[in-house]
Amino acid sequence: MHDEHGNRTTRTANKKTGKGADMKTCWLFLCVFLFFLPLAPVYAQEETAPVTDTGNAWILSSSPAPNEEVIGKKPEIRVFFTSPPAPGSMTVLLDGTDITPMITLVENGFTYKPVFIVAPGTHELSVLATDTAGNALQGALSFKTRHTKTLEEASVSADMTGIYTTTLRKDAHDGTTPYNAVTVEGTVQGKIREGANEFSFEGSPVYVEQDKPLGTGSVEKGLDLRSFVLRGEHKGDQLQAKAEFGDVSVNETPFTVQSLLRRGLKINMGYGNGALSFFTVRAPAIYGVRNTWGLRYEEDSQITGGSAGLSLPGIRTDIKATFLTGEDDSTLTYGISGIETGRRTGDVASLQVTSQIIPAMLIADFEAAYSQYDFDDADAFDEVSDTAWRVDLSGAVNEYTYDLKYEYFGRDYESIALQGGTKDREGIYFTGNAMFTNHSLSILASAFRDNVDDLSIMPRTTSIPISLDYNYTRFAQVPMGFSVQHEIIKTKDEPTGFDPVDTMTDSLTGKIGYVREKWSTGLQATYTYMNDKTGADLDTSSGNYTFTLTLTPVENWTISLVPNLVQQKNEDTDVRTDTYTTTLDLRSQPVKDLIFWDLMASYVVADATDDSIDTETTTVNTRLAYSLKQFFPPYLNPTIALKGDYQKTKDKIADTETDNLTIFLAFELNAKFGL
Amino acid sequence: MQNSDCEVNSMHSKKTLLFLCILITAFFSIASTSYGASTTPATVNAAYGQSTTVALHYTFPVVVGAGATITSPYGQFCLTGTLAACDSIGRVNMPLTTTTSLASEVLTIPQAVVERALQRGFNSFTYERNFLNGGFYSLKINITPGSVAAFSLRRIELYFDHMQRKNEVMVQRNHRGLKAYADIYYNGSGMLNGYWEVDGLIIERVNRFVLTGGKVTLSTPAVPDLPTFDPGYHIVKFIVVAPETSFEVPEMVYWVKGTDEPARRALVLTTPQDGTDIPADSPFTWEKMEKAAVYLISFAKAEDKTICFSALTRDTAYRIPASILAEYFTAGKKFLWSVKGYDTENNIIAESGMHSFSFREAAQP
Repeated sequence: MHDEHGNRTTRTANKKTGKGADMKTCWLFLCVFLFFLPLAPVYAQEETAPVTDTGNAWILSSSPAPNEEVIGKKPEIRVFFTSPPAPGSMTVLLDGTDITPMITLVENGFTYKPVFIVAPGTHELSVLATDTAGNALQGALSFKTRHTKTLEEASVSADMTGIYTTTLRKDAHDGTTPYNAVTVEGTVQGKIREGANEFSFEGSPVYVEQDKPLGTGSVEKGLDLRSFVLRGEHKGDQLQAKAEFGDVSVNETPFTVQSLLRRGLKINMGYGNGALSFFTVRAPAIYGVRNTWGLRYEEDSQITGGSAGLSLPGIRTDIKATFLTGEDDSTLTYGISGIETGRRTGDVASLQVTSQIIPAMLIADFEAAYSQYDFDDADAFDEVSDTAWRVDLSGAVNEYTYDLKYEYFGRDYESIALQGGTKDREGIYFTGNAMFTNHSLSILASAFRDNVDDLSIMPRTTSIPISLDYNYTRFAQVPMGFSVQHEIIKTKDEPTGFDPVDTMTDSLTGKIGYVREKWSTGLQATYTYMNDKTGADLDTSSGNYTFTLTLTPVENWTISLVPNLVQQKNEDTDVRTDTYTTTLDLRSQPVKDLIFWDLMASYVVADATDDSIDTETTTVNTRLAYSLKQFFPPYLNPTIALKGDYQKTKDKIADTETDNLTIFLAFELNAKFGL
Repeated sequence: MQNSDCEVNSMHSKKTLLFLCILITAFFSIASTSYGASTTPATVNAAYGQSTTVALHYTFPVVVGAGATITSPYGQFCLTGTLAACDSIGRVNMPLTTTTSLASEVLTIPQAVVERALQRGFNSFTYERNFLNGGFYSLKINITPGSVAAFSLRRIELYFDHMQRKNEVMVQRNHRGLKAYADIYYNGSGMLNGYWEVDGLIIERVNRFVLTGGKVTLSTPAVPDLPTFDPGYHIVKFIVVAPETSFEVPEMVYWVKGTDEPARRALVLTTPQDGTDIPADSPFTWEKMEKAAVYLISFAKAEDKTICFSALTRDTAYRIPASILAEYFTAGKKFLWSVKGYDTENNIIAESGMHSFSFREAAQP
């Protein structure tokens, strides 16, 4: 809460009560419901059956028979005629695709073995021809397929790779590289479907073992399931429902939650013009199941919420209400880390209305949100509430697209599912794009301010960034373009003792390339100057120059060379720091499909004009492999490889140098199977 | 009288001697004690509503004799007063020790400290350290909106997939185009300096000016893309060099399988030429691709690119049957065509772009 001066009040209430839900029971119920549905009778494909449809009088028999349901993923099709058509006059279509070049002519007919898996369901076979007298012949028949007797569609596949690595050479002082290591990794996925109901799963099992401890990080020794998703779906005419458990992605609105990939449960339902969603996921990102599957509701680190939506097609408008609540006490988790260390808690509610005023040309999107957020549940301060809202007009007219937006974020607005997001800001934004035959142009112009509550104890900052990006594509072999950025940041109403801020930053980028069949090259240069207009005059400048060269001299050989120079200068002290980085990437097959040689190397030099930095670093990773595939069945793919890692670091200021070379021998085996 | 004069002279001499002794003692005392440390920066803006990180560098002008140590057991945030009279609103229990004239720390100004200051009606406070043998240091901290706070990072999120934001993937060997992304949330604006690292190998340096938007998204380059030639797991990080961060850099993992991703080559369409008007019985031909077991030729309407007709063939040529032309095509109207090549395992190994054509209208009698 805030007092009349805008300051937070101290805590008087205790922690919020937690909630609990038996997620496991809900998921099990949904799967049982999807599985135990009545099944239609099926028939196995047997001999060709006579065709009694009077419109197909010249087709004697066929397999499948008209309206027959056959079992199989690639059922063979056989058709026989009462009399053969004129040679070369026949055209055969399967579901609108001409398969005539793929059929095998037999006496008085043809057979066809599908190239691709035939999707379960109804199919149409059409045959067009002329008889020897020149009369048109036409026939069509429908049939159904399903993958198995029990299930309309069923498939399972696995792709596993096992790698055994032994170290042939390593430096004596390297105490972390193992002498022997085993890694097994792969993906397993499957799907079953019957009518409108479908169940699928995907998982990535791994196994890692070695004779030295693994470094601290996200990979641990032993067997694990790195990520998984179980999915049940019902696609009825009126009712659609989907339930997912595992690593799910949650998306609601820009002010509540977007692209949140976490372990948990998500359910979506749609009936007519209405839609409901529910989710409960762990707040931190977790991978693997050894520490937790994510089944249990964790009171200190869970985000739960849902939405209700209504579509009004008559006025081309969608309305959506969203609510979520959560707690997060994580700091460093898989792929994410941040500065906040307390237990964050919060609720968010939002209402969004989207309307296609003129379809595709003028789309209006409005959202208003309310949040309550506490950045540290354990401290003396209570949660604070605030609001945010936006109005967005966008559309496309011929070659032009535009987006005009007004946004307001309250001083304390924050969503527990969008931590670190924008707050205390109000402004307008305009982006425009134009795509012509030989030109493309993008413009971004915005103006925003902070201190939206006009507190006299803090200054107000106005920021005006403008950018322009242009590309000329008249010559496909010579793509080129440039971009310009200009930003003004200025404070006003500074309280006593506060140094004003007045900076203007300009950035200019140019790029050009040349593309040929066997090689391509490109150059990109960026220069940025920040002009500090205050008395401090702390100007800085920087340059970034990158050259790219890619060669494909022969098939199966690709070489890329990318030198890059980054320069940063303090205009006040006149000290410049230069960093040169050159990266080399080689992918090759000295003997096609038999010997593989790949290499990636980098050379980095950092140098400062005041001699505070002078270092060189060289790193090389390479692999030379021989495929043993020819000696094994096609579903096995074994390889033997020699791998090397080299790193050299030289610090000329500290006068130190380190050198590490490690060589490995690896046996790799890949196996794939599928049903 | 003479005795009195002597006594006076003696007194003067004693006073002078005493003064000189004091002076000499003071001189050596000063010579053996540091003056107050100077710091960079001297003032910093801390963001309201979030924590701020700033790198502080202390310079001590004079150091006590060889082997002496300059140390500070803790720092504290003060609303008013200094040292023992400090009205403390927070403390940093991290000792600093040096035997040189330099010392540094990465200071996190917690959001709670800022809140305490504001609650008491202050829009600024100080951070103080007292160094044994080093003197007293004080940093002035102003509370400001995030856009003009000291340039500092608040949060880093890594992911591979721009749409689903997956932070772990498994790809086939030699998969091309794998990119890593980093969403970096920050206060203020300034030069972001860092590099992308894969298994200890630097693949790109980043040095760019970030505007006052609060968030920037970086990605690994297209050339070279993330290395996928070595089966096994690989660790990706974005290492931040400047501004200095107080939190550990996150990492994420990608796994490379032992099967090679089928290389997709560009398939060249031969006839008809792009954009030509052709007779109804004109053949469509393309380049033969090694290992292609079957080709799928597709025809689409130019206005919306929806597929209207397709055919399978093992040859590198196809002619649309006369019985199909009337049903699926209209003379004079523009259509697009393209070809895909599949190997024996039904993997796409070659793909063409889209070329346009139109059928000539029949000549009027």
